[in-house]
Amino acid sequence: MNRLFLNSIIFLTVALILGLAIGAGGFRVDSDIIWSIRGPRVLTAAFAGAATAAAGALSQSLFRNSLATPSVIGTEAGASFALAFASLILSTQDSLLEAPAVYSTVGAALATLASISLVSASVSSGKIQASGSPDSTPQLLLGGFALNALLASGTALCISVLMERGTGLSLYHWLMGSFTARTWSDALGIMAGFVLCIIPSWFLAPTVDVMSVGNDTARSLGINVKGSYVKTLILIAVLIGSAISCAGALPFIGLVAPHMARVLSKPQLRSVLVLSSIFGATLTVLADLAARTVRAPVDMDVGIITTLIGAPYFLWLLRRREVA
Amino acid sequence: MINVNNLTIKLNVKTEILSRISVDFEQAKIHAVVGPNGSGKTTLLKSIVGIYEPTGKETIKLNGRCLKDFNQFERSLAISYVESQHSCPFAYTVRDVISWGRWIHHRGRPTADDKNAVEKAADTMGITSLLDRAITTLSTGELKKTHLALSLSSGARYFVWDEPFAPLDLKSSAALAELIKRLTLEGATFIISCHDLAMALRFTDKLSLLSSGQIRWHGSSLDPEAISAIEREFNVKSRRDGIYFSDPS
Repeated sequence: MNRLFLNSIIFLTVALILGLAIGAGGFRVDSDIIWSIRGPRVLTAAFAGAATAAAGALSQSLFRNSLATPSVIGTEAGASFALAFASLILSTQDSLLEAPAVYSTVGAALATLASISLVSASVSSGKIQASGSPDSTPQLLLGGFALNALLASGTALCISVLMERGTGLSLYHWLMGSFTARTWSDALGIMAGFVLCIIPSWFLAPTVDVMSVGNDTARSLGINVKGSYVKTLILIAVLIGSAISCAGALPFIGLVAPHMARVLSKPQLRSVLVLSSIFGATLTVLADLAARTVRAPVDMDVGIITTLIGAPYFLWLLRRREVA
Repeated sequence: MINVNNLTIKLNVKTEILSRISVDFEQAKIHAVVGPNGSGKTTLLKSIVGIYEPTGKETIKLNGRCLKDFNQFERSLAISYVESQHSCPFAYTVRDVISWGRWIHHRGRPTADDKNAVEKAADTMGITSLLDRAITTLSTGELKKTHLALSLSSGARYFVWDEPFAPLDLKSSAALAELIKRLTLEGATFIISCHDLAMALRFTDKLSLLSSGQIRWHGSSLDPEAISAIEREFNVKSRRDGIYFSDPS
């Protein structure tokens, strides 16, 4: 584990150095550019990736399914829709949305709650529901599928209306995942969001571990299942909300990074959280590096890169694990 | 002593799973809860553990005190529960899982005492050699034994086990029955749901026959009436050479 941890840190460091040193014009070390442009950009990417991956790890554990990640159950779509909707209502021609993290966090929380309540309502009603949270992950995934589609079309609607006003394009690139023109305040914002969530997650993790035996058993073991559920959901919402508000969606980071971590590390959520965060940061920094160099001088949306790399990787992983 | 008094649990407004059930489970006895599929056995067991909370006038009392008045800590200290089925997709070791039985004692930081209790419980269930295996690699029966060891490690005096015998092989079943008898002599109380009626009659002290959410018969497992109650309820015939049940047709 320690060696694994060390190796992953080395990988992250290499990724960070590459991200700082390479730019649109090739390999060039220039302290001004690094300080004012690449520094905040690379840090924002690293922490947004770490936050997305940590949220993925929490969500997988909470719902006892490696597929139940924020992009699958609708959390990310909710955050994006909330941002789009708030922009539609609140932003004007020349001022962008203020405090976007608040809207996206609320959106993330509401979307997660929506898919959970859809599920628990369909599973049980009345007194039997006393045991609390849903134990039915397949329904959660299917409910998330429907919710994702609904929220995506809502987001598309908001964007198209904003297009007519002439401000839709920047929102579109924002939501597709982009680290273009990030400032130090962006970097510090997502850093604060990540640290603020990872510390309580660390303390909550052993409880979530025990909850993986099932809600009823966990409850009989003296665990406050409902309380831990709510706390974990809030952490997931804040992590995703702050990541999306500063970087847009990073598809597959929340799925691939925790998946890699679980294959390599001990099953305890603490180890998985730490390793997922490091992997998420590394992957996102590298994806951003690719996004701004492949078609230089054009900045591609980083979400395109994470999907192009993440989806095949995930398929490969599924296949390999099936064979093994 | 656990007294269930006038317990009703509803699935929704229309469907009652348990209707006004009253039954006593005495201390240091083995209680079998039997009945057809869907008769409410699991719901009754979950109510006793406090997973389904009774809301009306009905009460469940543990040693004379209302279960509702126990906090989660006290309840877990007194009663240990094992579900009928287990699923966990993550590769925790058997040792990890058993140690969660003592969660209220260590809250994630097991002491030497907790670790000894885990080893002892694993030894009792005969799964010491599995301690460092990932639970995702276990057979259904081995996973059941892991969860029974988890329950034993808890230090509780009441054990509510939902179909503990179902996935076990013949030898393990017999060993488990012997273990339950031994622990009962030491003062533990077992409330067990079971589909093997012959076995239930052979080794338990008390039998509760549940059907359509109601107690149809309750009494000593040795009482000949227990057999006729089972014959009536399941529409089967017993054969007296030992107790076996077979379809009458």
